[in-house]
Amino acid sequence: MNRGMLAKLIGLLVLTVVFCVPVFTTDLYYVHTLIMVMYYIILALSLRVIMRIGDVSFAHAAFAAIGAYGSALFVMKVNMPFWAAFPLAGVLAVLMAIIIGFPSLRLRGAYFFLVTFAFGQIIVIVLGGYWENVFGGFTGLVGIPAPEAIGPWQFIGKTPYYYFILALTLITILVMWRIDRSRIGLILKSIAERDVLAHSLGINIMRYRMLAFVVGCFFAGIAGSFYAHYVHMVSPEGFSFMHSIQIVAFCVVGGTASVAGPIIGVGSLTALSEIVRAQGPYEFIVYGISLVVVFMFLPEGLLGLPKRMSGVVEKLSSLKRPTRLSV
Amino acid sequence: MDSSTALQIVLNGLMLSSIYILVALGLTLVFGVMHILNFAHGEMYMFGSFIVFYMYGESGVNYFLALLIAMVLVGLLAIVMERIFYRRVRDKLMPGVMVAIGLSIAIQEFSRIGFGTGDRFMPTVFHGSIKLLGTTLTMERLAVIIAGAILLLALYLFVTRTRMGKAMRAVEQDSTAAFLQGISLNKTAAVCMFIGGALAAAAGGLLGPVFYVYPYMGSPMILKAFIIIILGGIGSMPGAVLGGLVLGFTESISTVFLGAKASLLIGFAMLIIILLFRPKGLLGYE
Amino acid sequence: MPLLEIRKITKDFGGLRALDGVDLDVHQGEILGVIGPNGAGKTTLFNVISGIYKPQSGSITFDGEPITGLKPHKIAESGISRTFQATTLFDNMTLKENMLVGSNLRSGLRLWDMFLNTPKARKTEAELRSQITDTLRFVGMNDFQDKNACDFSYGYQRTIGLAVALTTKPRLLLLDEPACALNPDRLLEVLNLIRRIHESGITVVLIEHNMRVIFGLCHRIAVISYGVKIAEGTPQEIRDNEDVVQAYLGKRSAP
Repeated sequence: MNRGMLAKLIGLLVLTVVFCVPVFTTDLYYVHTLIMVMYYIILALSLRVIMRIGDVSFAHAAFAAIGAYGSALFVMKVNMPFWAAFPLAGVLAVLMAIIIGFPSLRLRGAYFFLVTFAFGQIIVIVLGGYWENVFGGFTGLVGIPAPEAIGPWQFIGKTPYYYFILALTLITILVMWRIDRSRIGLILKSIAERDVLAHSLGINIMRYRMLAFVVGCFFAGIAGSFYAHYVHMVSPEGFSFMHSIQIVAFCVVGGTASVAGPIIGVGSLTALSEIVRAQGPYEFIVYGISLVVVFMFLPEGLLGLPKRMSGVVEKLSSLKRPTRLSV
Repeated sequence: MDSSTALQIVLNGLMLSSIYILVALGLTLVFGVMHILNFAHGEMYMFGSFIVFYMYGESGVNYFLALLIAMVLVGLLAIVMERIFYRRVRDKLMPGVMVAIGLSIAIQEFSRIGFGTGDRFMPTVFHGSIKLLGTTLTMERLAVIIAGAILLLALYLFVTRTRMGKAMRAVEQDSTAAFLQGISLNKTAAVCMFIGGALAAAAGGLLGPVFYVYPYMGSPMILKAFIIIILGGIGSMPGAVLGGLVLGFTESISTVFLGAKASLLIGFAMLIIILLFRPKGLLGYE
Repeated sequence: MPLLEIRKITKDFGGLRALDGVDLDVHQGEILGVIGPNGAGKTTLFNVISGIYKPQSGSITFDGEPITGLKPHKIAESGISRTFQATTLFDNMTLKENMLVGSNLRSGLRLWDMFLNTPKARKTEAELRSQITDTLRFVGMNDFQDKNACDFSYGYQRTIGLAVALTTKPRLLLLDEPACALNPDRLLEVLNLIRRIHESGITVVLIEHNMRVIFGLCHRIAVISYGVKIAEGTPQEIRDNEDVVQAYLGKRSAP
């Protein structure tokens, strides 16, 4: 059995287990944690596609906020059914992404990060401080209704939400994986590697950066919409700069080289913060320290660990042999 | 708008500017010379405040002594921080920023655990006030302005007159050339970090009696410091002064007419406009 | 009509004038050499032509169409391709991937095709792969398609850069110091390669410091010094030109 088949088998096993969790667990805490894990996986994966072009956006939580508030307002103020508001929330996030992206995507590196950060902050400040009769001010919106039933399945309790987010997560993984494997992924990679060369080879780098940014923000908006109708309330505090950093940490700690990276990142950091939380409200320390450790010692993230380990093993084993001139 | 409001606006503007300039100078100095965007700089400001609070506010130590000790301690802390964390990621922009952000978060959370979340108040240092043009100007706020000006002058003299100051400027322009001339990059880095930390701590210690002290106070400060150095041009010290004045007065004016939250919004809007149209800042170079 | 017409191109960087009213024609089917002392503005000229810099004034026309100030991807689309002075490749991607990126321009694939892997996409990808193999055979490097670009030696990396530039099927190829730092064997191979590229119908302009390459390959030579074109003509004319010798050596000296 080669590695590919093994990976697929493991994946199938994991999928089956994940699928059956609500059936076997009555402990709602676990179900809720898994739902939140999947929510963050979607956010981390959608940030990753933006990071593929080489720049980090610090506004990602703000785009989730746009989707969350947008969908909540569509349902509550305009009486739209959830299943229409949900995709529309994604479209809203896309529109904001285009408006913000047009000027910002010309910038590189630290400048892009600062501009996205500033835009993200403005969004959150506006949501919390202005038009309070619409956005609900500091406390935000409460009483957001659940999604309407699909056929016999009503959104009561956690189980329907679990399967909904599971489906969303799988779709997100599929889309991101497909982008990676396709020519689009190749082009994004080339822009991150050496944009001047890609540009000179006829690649419209502005178009591809906008594409990556829009796709990433769409999924963030969708995730936000889910969040709003799952938790039934939204406030600006839930989408702060800290949360944007948290999502960056998820992406980066896992590694951006493949789709598995953010998944591993969310999984490991959530597990770690659960352990830490047993001692007290210290989760954010985990995120802070993980950023420091990863960028100092393991910039490829956990995905890069096997390579590092084999490098270390090689170094250790070569110490035993006397040095000889390499041919 | 009558003259007393105008005077209040000017005074507040100057006071805020003084604080902002002190913090921004440290940030831009460290970036200009070492290419590190020290996100944890806000925490240096916070520590300065807390040290002065514990020494002067709780233990009755002389205020100026407390301030001096805070500046030295935080300066040393900054050196240690550079040595342990930043040196590995020197000259690598993104990793540097990420490590700095991570440090900032970790320090904030540890401080929250250690100091507790409550707001701390310090007793007033400079009592009394002057009545001018129909308005009351507290000595406390005047003192901040004066102290800020003194520190600014001291920094200016240091950078232009001393050998180390010139070495710093050499490293800023071309670190390889400076290195080949025998300037120790590590020593220069240490001095820069010390000055940056000391200035931030001074700002924190000066502002503490005017407002209040809490573990997360570094966050809004670092945001403003970033806005300032982008406005003025990253790496430019005169730019930090100009940017600090712009932001300080913008905040002072908008607080009177538009409310406090608007000033942050305006600040970010200015940041975006500058980044889009003149990324080098008003005075900067690259 | 010349293939490429450069008229009065001026490029400033702040206070520094890198190009000052440069006029140059490139004729279809020729190999034109561009020489000049270091810092003369040769690479800047290439950067203006290929769209990386926007000139302050002047115009460039390619095959009758104005291309001044267009973005690099549009310039590539119109049929001009280039290599860079410093080795510029997608380091952490394989040779095959490097070539695939370049082949994107003429592939006719739309985003939809790429994402969904439609039959059209699959057919085009197969065609592109065989084209890549042909191009790599042409430059003599077909054996290592799956090796990372950064793992090749310097000399081979330069050749790869050439191959990648060819994937966009250019009519005009700008080569920036193709012979730079190559040992004599590699140099000969690169020379032959440029000849064969030229024979396949591509017009070539090359910047070079190596005079044996210039005089061995070029039909015509232009000399640029301090942002100004100081001479243009056949190799013999350039050799005998006083101004050229002055610019390079500062005194009369036999080449």
